[in-house]
Amino acid sequence: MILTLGTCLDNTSEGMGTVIYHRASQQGRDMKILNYLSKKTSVLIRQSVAKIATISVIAVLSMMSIHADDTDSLSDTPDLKIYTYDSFVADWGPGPKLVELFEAQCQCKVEMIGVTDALNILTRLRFEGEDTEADVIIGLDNNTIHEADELGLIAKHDVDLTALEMPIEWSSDTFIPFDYGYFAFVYNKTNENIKKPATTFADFISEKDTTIIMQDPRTSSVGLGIVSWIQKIYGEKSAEVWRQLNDRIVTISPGWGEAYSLFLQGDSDYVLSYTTSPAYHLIAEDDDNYASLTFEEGHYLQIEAAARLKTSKRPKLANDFLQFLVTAEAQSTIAQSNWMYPVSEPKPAMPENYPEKPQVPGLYFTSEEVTEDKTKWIQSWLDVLSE
Amino acid sequence: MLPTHSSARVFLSTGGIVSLLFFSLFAVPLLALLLWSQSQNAAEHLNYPLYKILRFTLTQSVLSTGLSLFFGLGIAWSIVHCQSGLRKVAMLSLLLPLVMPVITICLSWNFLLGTQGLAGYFGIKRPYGLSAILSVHVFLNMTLIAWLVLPAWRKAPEGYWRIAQMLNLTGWQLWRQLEWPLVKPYAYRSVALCFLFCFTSFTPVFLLGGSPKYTTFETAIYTAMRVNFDPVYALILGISQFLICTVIIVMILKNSPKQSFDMGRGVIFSNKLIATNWMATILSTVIILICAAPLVTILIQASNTVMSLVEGHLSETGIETLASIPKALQTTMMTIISAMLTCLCLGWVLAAFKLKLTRQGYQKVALTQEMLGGVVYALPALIMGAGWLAVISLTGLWKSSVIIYLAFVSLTTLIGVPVVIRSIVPAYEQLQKQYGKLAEQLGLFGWQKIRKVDWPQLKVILLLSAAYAGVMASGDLGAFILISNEQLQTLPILIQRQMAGYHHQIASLSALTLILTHMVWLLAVYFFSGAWRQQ
Repeated sequence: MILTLGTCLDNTSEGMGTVIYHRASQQGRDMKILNYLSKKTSVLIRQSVAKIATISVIAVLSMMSIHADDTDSLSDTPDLKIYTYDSFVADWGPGPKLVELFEAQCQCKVEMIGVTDALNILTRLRFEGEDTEADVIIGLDNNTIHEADELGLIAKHDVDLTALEMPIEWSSDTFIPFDYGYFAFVYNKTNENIKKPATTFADFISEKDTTIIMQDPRTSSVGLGIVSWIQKIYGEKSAEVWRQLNDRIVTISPGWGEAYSLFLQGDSDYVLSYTTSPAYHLIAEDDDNYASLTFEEGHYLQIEAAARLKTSKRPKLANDFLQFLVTAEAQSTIAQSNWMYPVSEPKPAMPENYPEKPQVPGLYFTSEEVTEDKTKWIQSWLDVLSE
Repeated sequence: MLPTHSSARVFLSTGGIVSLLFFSLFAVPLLALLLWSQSQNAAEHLNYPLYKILRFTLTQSVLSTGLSLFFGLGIAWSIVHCQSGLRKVAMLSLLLPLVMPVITICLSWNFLLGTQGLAGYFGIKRPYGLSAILSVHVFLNMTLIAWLVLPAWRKAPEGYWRIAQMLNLTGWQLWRQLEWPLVKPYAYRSVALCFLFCFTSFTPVFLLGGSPKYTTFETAIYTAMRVNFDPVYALILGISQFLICTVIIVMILKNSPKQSFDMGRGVIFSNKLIATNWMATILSTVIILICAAPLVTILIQASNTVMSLVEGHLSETGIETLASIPKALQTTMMTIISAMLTCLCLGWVLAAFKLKLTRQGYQKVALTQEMLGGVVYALPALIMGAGWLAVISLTGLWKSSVIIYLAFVSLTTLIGVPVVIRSIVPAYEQLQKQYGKLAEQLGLFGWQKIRKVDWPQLKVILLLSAAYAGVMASGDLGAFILISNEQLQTLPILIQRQMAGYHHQIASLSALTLILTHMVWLLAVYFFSGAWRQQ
């Protein structure tokens, strides 16, 4: 776009230039230019050279300041760099508190870098390959860990996972789980558009007048979650389900954070989130107006995981951090700021009003199954949404 | 005294080296992208079909162009027929959308027409998508078309208006019999330009599309690179867009009217024979309001952000986001200054080289150089960004801010240099005609001539065009979105990230910073270069 803008505006400047030039040239004819050359040129050149020199100095200083930034960052290099998703490092997310707790424990410096949504962690690793500066990644889930393993960058962990209390058995030897939850559609109970909350996925799909905000399965783990969820329940008929939902989708956001912000702003009736999301409003904001729909067919299970990279220059420290993630203290922090269920007994214990796990089946595909069929599912989703 | 063969040789070889340097700015990233795409093990890719991309790109371009033409002609007509003092204000207001970076217009769309604006007020549930894209494109292009067709009214001799008065031609008849034949050639080129503009649009589609259904070539390249990690498909898309754009450019050049097309002056003299039309006066008022609305909205929202900060109502995340503005401003300023310097030097040498080649009888070489320079217009900025990403990946310099900064400057220069060349070539030719022989008689050649004749005469246009090129290119989002990182981001990138996080109010402060930076820089160069004295 900028190129075409350039095309038009350079014509504009061509016109302007000609006007300026003509005006300048009108002021001086042949005799004047001789006089001009002999008397004024040297002064003008000196002034112009001084001006160019000033600009050049500014540019060089700018370059130096960038270089200085690099140097500064070298002298202030963190001991552990972690890639995660944006909402994990937000001030209300678990990231800042976890960093504080771990830094106090290890006497080291930890930096968490938010790379938008979880699936972007994978993209980032693909781009950077073995040159990546990350030591640890946090936020890939049971749907994507196999795909990450296939990159050949993830190291085997050395973390004691005997205390895990999970809805399914954890088998990965590279990733460690740090929380889990169930996807659900969240709504505001005061919303007049929702007269009778749906109790089955089928009822939800057949609603006509309500709107939804969803996440892009190509960039968001939650987006991939809904695609997997519908696939798990409806299999071959998934495309038809998407066709029915399509007219009600307000927008497809790249990540969970954006979608939830839009929902809170009143842009839609439902947002795809977690069964635990209303707990945040209830406990952190003392607002009981939010609820999640519970479907008889079951809810898709998401287990979030973390791993150490083979390229990490501090493997011991990275491993210590992974071990720290499943400690009671870290689990309590995660459960009450990431608003997901803990994978082991948290300490301090969860507040009494923290929601119970839904009494419906937990649905999931194995990571290998998702890696194998993901492209087909998303392609089908893309086809329907582009109709 | 005549120039020696050696000085001519030195000049030609310098010009040749600079030309090569300029072409390497896009050849190296493209080559790197090609190499990189071959080294990737592309297994399965989620590619949005090419025909669907082409269909939507064409649909939105045609609709945007049609609507922009309709409203653009309406604006031009209103300004011409409004003989009150409002006309000057209306004409000045037309410049606002042209100087505001596209991302700031998209941001103000959220406040004005999105869910926080009219759509929310009227209960429109799905404001994103085609309507949102069209509204931004039309806003940008209608003012552009109006600005470009306004000089058409200059072309009519006063006798035309007298005859029109004698024949009692008013309203529609006047438009059909007299005005449209004058406007037609201007409208033709403006439409073609507007079509290209919409065809290669990235920011409005990226930010306001809301669904993969609304995918253009540019956004598909972004998805291929950032989401699917598929440089091969990105290259295919880039080449497709390049070919389509080239066909459009060739068609424009082939079919454009032969008469002179002094677009850009946009100044129409007061013609007392043109009757004041009350409707035009009302429309001119509406135009002023519409053109000023985005800037005013951003001003109000930015003020609210400052007030929230002062009163302590801003969240910690908000303050953290706000703290990124100074660093992004520093990066933007550095990009502008460096790009201005490189644009100035490269543009000047290349323009001089082209003229020298033409004068020395190497018209074909000069034409080839010009055509290669023209390639830049048709290459998607995102592909160049992807090329730099490939350079960074192949060299493994992810951690170096300097290489990313160099990529910023290179991309800005690449976009800006043709602007500088096209601005100074006519002035250079004129200068050569008027003072070339005189300088020869005085024995001024090479560096002496540059110092004593060329620079004093060309410095205003050179500095202004280079400053404008730097500002224009640094305000772009598409070129930089693929290569910026958390440490080094320009203001448009920061605004995009703030918008993605729905920190719209804080983004408005960043947007205001960007707009003010551009305006202050252009004004500074305007006064610094001495242009105001010549005016």
